[in-house]
Amino acid sequence: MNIQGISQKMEQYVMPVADKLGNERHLRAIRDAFMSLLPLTFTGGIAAVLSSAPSVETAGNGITMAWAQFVANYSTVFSWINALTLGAMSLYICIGIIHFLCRDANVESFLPILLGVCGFLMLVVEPQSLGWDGKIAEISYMDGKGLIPAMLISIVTADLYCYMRKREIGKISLPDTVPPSLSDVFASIAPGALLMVIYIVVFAVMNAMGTTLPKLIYQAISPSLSAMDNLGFTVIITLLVHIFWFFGIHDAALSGVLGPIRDGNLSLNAVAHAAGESLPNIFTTPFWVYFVVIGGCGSVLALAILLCTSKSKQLKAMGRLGLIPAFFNISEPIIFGLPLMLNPIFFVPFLSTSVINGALAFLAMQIGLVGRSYAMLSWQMPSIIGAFFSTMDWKAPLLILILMVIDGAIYFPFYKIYERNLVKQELGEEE
Amino acid sequence: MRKIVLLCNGGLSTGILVRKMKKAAEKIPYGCEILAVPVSSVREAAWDADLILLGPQVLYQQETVKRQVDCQVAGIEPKAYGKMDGEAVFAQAKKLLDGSPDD
Repeated sequence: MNIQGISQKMEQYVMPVADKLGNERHLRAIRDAFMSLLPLTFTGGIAAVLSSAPSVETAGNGITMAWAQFVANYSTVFSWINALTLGAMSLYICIGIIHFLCRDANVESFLPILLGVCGFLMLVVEPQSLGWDGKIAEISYMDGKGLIPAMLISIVTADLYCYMRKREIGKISLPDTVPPSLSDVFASIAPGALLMVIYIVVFAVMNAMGTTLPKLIYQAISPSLSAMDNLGFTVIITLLVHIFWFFGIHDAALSGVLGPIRDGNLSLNAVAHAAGESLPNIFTTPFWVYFVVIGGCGSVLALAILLCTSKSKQLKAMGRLGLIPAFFNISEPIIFGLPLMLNPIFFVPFLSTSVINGALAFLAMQIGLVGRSYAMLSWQMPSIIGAFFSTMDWKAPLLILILMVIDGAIYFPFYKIYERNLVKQELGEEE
Repeated sequence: MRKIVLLCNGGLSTGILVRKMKKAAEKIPYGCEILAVPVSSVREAAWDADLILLGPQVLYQQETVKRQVDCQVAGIEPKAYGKMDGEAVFAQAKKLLDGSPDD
């Protein structure tokens, strides 16, 4: 089948599926909620980087000593920032999902958010002693371990609330003289009360069983979650994302599923790092952004450098245009301009470069050659800088350089074939 | 004043294109407002648009976008998008708005 045939088939079959997947309202709300976390994960990431000072005993002198002393003096501040940013991710995700689901349904999100936060705190935070003079509760499950309960609570809250409000279930008719804002509050009493009853019943049942909702869920699924943090999963996901991109479809269509895995793993790593324990996960958001897709999807940064040196005028112009965006992990200009999309010559390198980056980086972290990531800074931070700050390991940028050389070597023969064709064309035009 | 809204996933890569399209519009000159927004905020940012153009990477969401707005919705030609060719994309937009390529 020729490429046009494939393209037509794709419009017919692949695009509608991607549209459904990318616009399923729950998946979209989850994706938007994770996107909204950025200011919090960024601040948490900066704090994590700052707190990675050498210990006071091993610090050399001068700046490192001052840094170590500073971190030691303010350790509570750093730990608290960590606990309430990446360590409390699930709470913010819960709020975000309710907000976006309500926005989608055209329902004011304020009251359902209040209800959802109450439900979240009731079910995810575990009371230890609730005395007259002081109350102590365990908040550990507000990190990545609480993401699934957070999604459950937020979806049940938003969907039930919107459903009841739209069908005016439990609406109390008030005379016209009552101000509309007041009747809005009354209209939400019945849906709110029903949701509160659900949270309370679930809490009571869990409490009687001697557990909490997140503990129960996490114990049930944690074997399958840790099974997902492996080489095979990394390779399959990377391949899938790039097949999407080869057809010109943004991987956001998959983010509703990928976001919780990547950010959940990051959150657990951040919490482990703050506690001074070894980091449990490899496949995190910074792992993806800085180590797998170097220069954006398609790992085009190495290719962009090659293009800049091309004998073909078109390719050289494309390289100059695409190099800076690729440095900041934006690969769209090269994917659509070169193009890589639906270009049979580049099919193999486009699909294989990021997969190889992911596989090599995964193995390097698994055997402990390169540190694992625990801080997410920005999607637009160049890989080489992001790799360093997300791991605080000087070997990480070195790994990025090696991976870029490999990417370039993989792209090179295919790029040469393409260049030869274009140079021939350009010469033909000039004659 | 016409309003042209470009959509991509995060509003980032189309942002580059918008700058170039604005230059192309000034050259004519053609009075219009051009902006880039993420595809998820169509309803808030593009409800009053006269024309919505989708970046090729979000073209798969065309049907969903069409359901949310009343104006014309079209995809940007991928190669012009990749080359960030503001003039070509602006010409495409103008043709869609005015119906004829040169007037």
